[in-house]
Amino acid sequence: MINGFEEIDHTADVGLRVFACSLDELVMQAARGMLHLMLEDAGSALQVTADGEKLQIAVEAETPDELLHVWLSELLFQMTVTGTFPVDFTVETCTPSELRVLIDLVPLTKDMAAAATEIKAVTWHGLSVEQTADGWQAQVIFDT
Amino acid sequence: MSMQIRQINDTLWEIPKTGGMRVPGRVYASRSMMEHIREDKSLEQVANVAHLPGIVKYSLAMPDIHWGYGFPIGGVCATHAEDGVISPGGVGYDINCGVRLVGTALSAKDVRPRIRHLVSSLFSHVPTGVGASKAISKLSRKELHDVAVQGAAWATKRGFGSAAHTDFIEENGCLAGADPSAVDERPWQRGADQLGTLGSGNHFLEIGCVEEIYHPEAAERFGLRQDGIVVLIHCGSRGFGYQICDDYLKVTIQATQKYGITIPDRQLACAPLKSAEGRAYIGAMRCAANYAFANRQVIMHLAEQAFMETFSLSQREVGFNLVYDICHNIAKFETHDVDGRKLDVCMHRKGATRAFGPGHPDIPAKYRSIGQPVLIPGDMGRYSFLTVGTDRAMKETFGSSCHGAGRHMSRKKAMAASKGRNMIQELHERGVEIQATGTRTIAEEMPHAYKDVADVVNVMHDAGITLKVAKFKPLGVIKG
Repeated sequence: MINGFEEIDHTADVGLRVFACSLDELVMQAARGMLHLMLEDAGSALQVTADGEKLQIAVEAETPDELLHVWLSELLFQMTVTGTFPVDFTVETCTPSELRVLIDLVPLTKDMAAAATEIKAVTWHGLSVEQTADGWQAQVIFDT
Repeated sequence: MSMQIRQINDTLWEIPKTGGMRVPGRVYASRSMMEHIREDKSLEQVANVAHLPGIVKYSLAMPDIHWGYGFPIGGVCATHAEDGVISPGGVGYDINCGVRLVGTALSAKDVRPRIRHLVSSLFSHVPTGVGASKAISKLSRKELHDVAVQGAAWATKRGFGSAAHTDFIEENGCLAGADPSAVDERPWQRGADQLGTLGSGNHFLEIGCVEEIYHPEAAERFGLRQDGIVVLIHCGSRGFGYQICDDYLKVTIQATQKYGITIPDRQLACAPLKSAEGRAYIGAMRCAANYAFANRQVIMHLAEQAFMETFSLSQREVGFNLVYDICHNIAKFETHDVDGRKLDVCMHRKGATRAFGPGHPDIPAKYRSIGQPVLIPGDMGRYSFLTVGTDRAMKETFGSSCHGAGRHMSRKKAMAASKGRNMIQELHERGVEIQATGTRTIAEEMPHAYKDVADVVNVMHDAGITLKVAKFKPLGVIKG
């Protein structure tokens, strides 16, 4: 299966359908998809910088879909309160109930903020994570 | 899923009670609007809301209904105060997102020649956009607690407007019973420096002029005159509210299981009103509602400063006059006549407004004999409306009405439709000056992404739920 994400056409909000060959790749693709919705092309051009910050996020959950929710919500919260934007992820641990990721961040500049779309929250509406014959897929809707 | 729906009259439709629905669904819409509404999943969401324990009479939707998450946007639901539930998803992430309408002493002829300067000045006074912050100095935790408990009165005590303003705000700008101890650490962190900011997405500040008056007596009572300049402020509780909703969805998802409640969508997670989880959410939600009342109060003051500077006028000469401030996303306890008896209910309004009819004691004394003002912003290109609640609203919709135009195009479709077009120039040619933090927001929020708000307002008018009072033409807009 090819790793990736596509945007779901939702009237009021925005959503993602995510595909990956493994669960750790799925949660990373979902994060990249969320960042893409926020900053589109400008976000993918960002590079890890020498003066960038690093942040470790560790989350636990009872189910894979809950894990995806708490991971994306935690990422969103950290970005908001620290005024930063993630540029790279290194998965340290990933099981259906536990995820630990090291994140490289850059400061959210005025220009980036101007180009960005605000995501208020990760919703539970239609949230799903499924293991398929050839990998994993997920769906997530955001409140914008 | 194809929904079964039958037309009751020209403006009202019913989704029959099937499966786990406890009551039927009722949707206000014209026939042509219903053709469009059927295209997404919003009717399914009306039916889903009807599954909530303690729901009274109907799961209602207003004509600006569109597909949300959990509740549809435009959804109204009353749950029995004794044995019903409260659902954070029935309020939404942006708790007490709402609209404030301000009249001024200025006329269109005073403002038009300097509209660009005014828009630019407003843009520099009122922070907008993603992560907008620092409109006022960062608040200490003690001050934030005071905001959460006191609402708009906190702002007026700090010199943002006058104490008399609170008479013209729904619930007098403060939901009693806010409980800061029910708010976890994170919302305080997210909300610390966002008071007085508009934020992003569909939030805006609009300068309009009174283009048409339909109900002269009401317009006069609300202090409006032909060609008079008005200001509409649309925003909510910012990150503070988003985080409270997020935190309590987790709590209520567990409560839903704990109390053995069956719901068709996790976003409808709920807790009995009388349970510890339900009471905690209500206390926290009220904190966010009060934050939003204070937020709009501060923004009104910042806008007044921008007007005074742009026109070199005194506060008295600018004549800012708060007409009314209403909530769009809220849950509140109200008493309604249901089948001939008074019933205490918890009203959930998600993308819907209160619209109390004449004589209700919760309406400011000055307006009481006319009815409650209901503010319905449009799409920044066409028009916005002021309407007034009726007795019929009290009988049919628990005193509720629509809240805005309602999207009919997704953000993705709106982006595609605006490709290659200069939306700022197009709006300029329509007589609307716009300044936004990002061009993407303007594209996503282009006027044609929304239903024609006149259609929405006319359905409510024809149904007798709210009556049209005045129409405003936008002259200038600032956005995130």
